[in-house]
Amino acid sequence: MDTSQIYMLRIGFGRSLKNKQSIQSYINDMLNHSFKAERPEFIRTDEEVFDLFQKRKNLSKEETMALQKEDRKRLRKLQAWWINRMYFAENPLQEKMVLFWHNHFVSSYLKVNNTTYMFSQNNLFRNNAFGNFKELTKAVLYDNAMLVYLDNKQNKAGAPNENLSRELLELFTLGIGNYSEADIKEGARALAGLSEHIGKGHYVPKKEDNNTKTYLGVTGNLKADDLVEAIFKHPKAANRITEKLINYFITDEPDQKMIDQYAKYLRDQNFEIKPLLKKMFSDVDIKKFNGAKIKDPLVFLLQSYDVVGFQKIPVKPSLNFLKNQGMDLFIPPNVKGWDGGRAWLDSGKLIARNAAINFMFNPPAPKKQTPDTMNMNEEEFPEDANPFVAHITWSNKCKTNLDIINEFSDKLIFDVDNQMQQDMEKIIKYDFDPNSQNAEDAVKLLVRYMLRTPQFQIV
Amino acid sequence: MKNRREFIKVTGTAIGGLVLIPHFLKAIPLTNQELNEGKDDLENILIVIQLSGGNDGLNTFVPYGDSVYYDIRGNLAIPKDQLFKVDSNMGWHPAMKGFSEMMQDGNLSVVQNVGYPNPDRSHFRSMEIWQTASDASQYLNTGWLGRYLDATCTDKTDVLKGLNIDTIDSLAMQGNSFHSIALQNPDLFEKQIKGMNPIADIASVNQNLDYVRKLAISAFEGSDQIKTAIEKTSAYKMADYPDSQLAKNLYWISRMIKGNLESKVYYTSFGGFDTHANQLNAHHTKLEQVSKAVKYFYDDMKSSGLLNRVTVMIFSEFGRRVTPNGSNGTDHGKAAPMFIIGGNNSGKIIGKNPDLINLNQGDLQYEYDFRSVYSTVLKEKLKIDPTLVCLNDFKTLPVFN
Repeated sequence: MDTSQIYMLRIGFGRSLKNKQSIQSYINDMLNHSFKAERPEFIRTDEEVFDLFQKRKNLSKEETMALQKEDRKRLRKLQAWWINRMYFAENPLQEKMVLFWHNHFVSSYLKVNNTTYMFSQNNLFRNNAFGNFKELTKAVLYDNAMLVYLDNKQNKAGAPNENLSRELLELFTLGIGNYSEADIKEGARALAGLSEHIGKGHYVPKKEDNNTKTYLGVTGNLKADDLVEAIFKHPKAANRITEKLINYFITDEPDQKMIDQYAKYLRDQNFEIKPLLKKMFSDVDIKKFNGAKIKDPLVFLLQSYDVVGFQKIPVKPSLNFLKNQGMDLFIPPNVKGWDGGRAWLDSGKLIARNAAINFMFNPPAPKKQTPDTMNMNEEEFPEDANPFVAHITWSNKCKTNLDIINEFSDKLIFDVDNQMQQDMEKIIKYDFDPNSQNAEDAVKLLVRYMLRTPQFQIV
Repeated sequence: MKNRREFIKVTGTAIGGLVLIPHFLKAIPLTNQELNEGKDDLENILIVIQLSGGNDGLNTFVPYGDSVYYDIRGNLAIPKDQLFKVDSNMGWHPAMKGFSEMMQDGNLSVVQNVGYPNPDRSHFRSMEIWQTASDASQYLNTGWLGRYLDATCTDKTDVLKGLNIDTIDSLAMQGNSFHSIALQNPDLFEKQIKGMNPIADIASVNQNLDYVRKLAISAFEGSDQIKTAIEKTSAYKMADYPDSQLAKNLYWISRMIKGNLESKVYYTSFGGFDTHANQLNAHHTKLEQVSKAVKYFYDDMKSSGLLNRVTVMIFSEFGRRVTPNGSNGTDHGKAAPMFIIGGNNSGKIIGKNPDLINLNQGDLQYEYDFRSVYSTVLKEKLKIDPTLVCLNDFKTLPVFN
């Protein structure tokens, strides 16, 4: 595999580098130019949802159910919006980091039940994609989706709920072994009364606990920001996040020396993520980690779409695929998020991946929509109605069968062994002519073969 | 509490013997009655063997009665006295004893001079034409067997009606839906069933890859049925078959058939026929491997009482140039014979002896369109109207009784 493609699979979603730029300058450009996302029209405003929130006690059970059902459709649209954003991203690394934060500061729609909150959280991650870890942690404690997901709206003076306080230490920052149960209790008191509000959370005065707390050795009438300040003074404050970043970008099995080295750097940089990523991508010899990760379902899907030339995403099949692969966006399995690595695959999921490849080469004809057959599902994504046709292109420097094989294996296959090379030369033989009328059909057979190999499951 | 041995004994006695013990525990060959129970000729099975690279038909089934053959082929010609003669004109290559014997049994017929109009000498294109059964000017993306499977499979999820024993998919088996799979090595299943490490023989470069490879062994629809067929036929040993990749593949096909897998079509390819240089020895070796493998499979089917249901069809994407090239080899050519083996076979040579005088750019002209042979097999053996497979107006040939 091409070295720039080894990077591209890690910093993005599998599209290959299209321009002539060097990979390092491309990465630096991405780190320096973030994009903002406008609120899509199907997402209700903070004010609208707050109004509903105020009214919710007056609603009947049926009305509540109807609202939830309606909102569920919005979530599907939001999933579609995000996956499209990833596929067409001008800055894939930024979306890749949004996904990272989504899987670090986990909230699930299944509990939050509010697409606006999920969108706002997603955008918080986008705006802070390469930002400051400490500042993002502070913001997350005021994030509406998080306050609902980890039950902090139930956390009040005299009746504490420790959920958010615990995960803040255990999963979001220090990790087990670096704090005490007393810290969790005191943290919960500091967070008491912090509840959902328009745009972001706020402390509700009558639920607040304004007595003195002692948290990680700091004493005072501590509030959310004070907790974060205390946490980030801890010598291990950078370790967990660094390990997760190395794991996410570089290898499923990071070694301790590497973690310690980059964790120290992150601390020295005052928890700024951008310099850490910059250093990591320029220091690490990525070729040494070629094959060190199992491909996640998103990269599997979007990389395949890219190589088969899809100009748009078949939305419904894609969302169903991700759900069945255990990577339903906005719905991670639990507060720990997706485990990743080998947990991405079992034989059932591998069957489904191969079936998805078959689908890309032979999508079933779209059903004719008549008033009789129209239902909610078929209307859901009207853009799916047009047929998806694989159209594979290659560069004009390919003259022979071996050129074609190399061009596609450079993009798709982390390591080609002899057996695989022989197979590919059986599919496209030595007298292959890339200009012949049926050349694309032959290349389709080749690419379909590659996309279904065990090697393609690995990056 | 009784121990397990006692439990089995008691149960066995109580219900009258060993009938509940599955075949794979017995590990003895199935009886012919077991193999054919409830089958009729609607359950015929087609095995297609693709000789990749362009087999030299003239040196396989040799027109020794025609002196022109010896004049043109020169030192590449096969001496008369070495051939297995069929009649006063045609004889089998000395490595093809098995084919000669099957023909003597009346179970092998040869269709002479098979090709198609406006032939293409490119491996890929000509193979594509054979696999899709298209005209030379037509580009199809489904194979003729894929279309057969599309037409006969009622259930979309029915993916085992065709089985390709190969590392890569064959376009021939590609339909609009997926009713066939390519299985590179059923041996991996057997190892898995026996609790052995199925990929122990594969050099490991990467633990993640090893992990995915293990998953991949059973990661396809139909893997359970294949496992069942393998379990049922664990008494049959590969060591009994000759030693070549084709023989190994036919061995697995034999086990799948005996294990009652639902596949109607088996496909396998065997390469090495692109004999541009120093052809004699290389071709001899390849033909010997083909002959021994197919003959062993034939004997296996015959002694198992399965031959009547089985048809083996052998083809290559083209024959070779009549005149040798300058490297003691032959270049890409056109028409060549096809071989059809199995039950209810006419056992005849169909068509004229190759015409070595009236050539097309130095190649044999075709007498029969390969799609006539396909149509014959589809109609007579697979019991389907060839027009349903988009083969219109190809006359059938008297290959079968």
